[in-house]
Amino acid sequence: MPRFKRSSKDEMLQGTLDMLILRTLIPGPAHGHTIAHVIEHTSDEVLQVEQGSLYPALHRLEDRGWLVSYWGSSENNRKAKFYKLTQAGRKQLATETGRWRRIVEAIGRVLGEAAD
Amino acid sequence: MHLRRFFHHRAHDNELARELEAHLQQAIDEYIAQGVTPEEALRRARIRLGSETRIREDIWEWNSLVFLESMLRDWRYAARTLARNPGFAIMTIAVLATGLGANAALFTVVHSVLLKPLPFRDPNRLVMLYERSVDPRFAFNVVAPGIYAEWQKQGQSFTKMAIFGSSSYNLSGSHGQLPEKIETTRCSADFFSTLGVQPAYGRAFEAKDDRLQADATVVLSWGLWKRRFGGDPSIVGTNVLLDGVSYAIIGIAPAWFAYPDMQTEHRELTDRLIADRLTRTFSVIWQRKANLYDMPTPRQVARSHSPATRRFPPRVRTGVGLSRFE
Repeated sequence: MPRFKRSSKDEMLQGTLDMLILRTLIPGPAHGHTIAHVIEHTSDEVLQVEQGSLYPALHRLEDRGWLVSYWGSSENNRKAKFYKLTQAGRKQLATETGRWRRIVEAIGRVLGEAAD
Repeated sequence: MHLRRFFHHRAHDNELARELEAHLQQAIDEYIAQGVTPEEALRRARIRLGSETRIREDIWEWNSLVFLESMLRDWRYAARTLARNPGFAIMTIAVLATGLGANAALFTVVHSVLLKPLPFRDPNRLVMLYERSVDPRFAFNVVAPGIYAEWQKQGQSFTKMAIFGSSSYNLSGSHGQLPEKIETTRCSADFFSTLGVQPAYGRAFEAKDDRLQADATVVLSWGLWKRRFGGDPSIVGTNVLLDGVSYAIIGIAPAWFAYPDMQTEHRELTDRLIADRLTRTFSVIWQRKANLYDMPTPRQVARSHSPATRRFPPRVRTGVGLSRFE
């Protein structure tokens, strides 16, 4: 089994990073730095991407065939490795999003009952 | 994990290193754009990314077949250690080789002597029969042909029983060859059929050969046939002289057949010998009907067969002993 565990208090929920990466790539290909930046920026800096686990995650997603990678030039003309969502990746994102929504809803119900 | 990745480990790792380098550059560019000094930008970017090596190691490990790699490492380590100390290496290899060789040799012997079944038909059912005398010194005595004949006459619990004994004969020279003294086995007609052996050429002994008035017959061993008769199959049907008596060659034993020993011709036993109850020089093979698990104890056999000898004079009166087929 891959070991991507990081001892960090801000560690993201297991599996959510994959989902966020896939979501970030919906508009088009991006390289690692952009992906991390977009996730942090879109979440209003609430989510901090542990960069040490970003690359292993990208690697893992590519290995499963959800992403493909290629070398290209970044916006400021530097060499960078770009990741692109595959068809399988899109399907996976849909699955994971659905699962995530159900979990959030379920947790919400539990918390809501507790509050009553 | 893709096997392809495993074999392109190094290339993959290099690419990852370049990717992380690119990432750092991006981050540095960004920090500089925010108005930070290049040194500070590099520092912040590094802190943000964390240990590059750690990331590379994680992915490297993920791409590894850990078992295979540690095995390769062990092999390399072993080779290095042995190369550093050749004297020790040679000693170790010699010791191991000797041990392995000895084991293999020993097992070969054990295999053929103890484990491999005998090349005969139903070898589990073959046993040796011995005469059991009242004299405890002769608990397992070799058999006199007359006793064998009595056993055979009344034995219902066996399918086949054969008697054989060895003696040597003079084989007269023919075609200018010198005469030769050969070891032979005299046997009853059912010797080959009890063992389930078919001759390579010709036929085995039959009941009709086992009579006094029948022609004397002989089955040659493969070795003698090759040596004396040039392996000529047409020799079957011709005659040889053994102790000056003419014997018809009726068959050639197969090449692998070396029972009771390596160099034996087989010659039939006539009922003149069958009448002899005192010349205890013969061995008897018995092929039992059932398998080994319901083998009667020697005592049972002795009881069931001893009436056969009851009408003989006391020194002939014996029971039956069983032993492993050998």
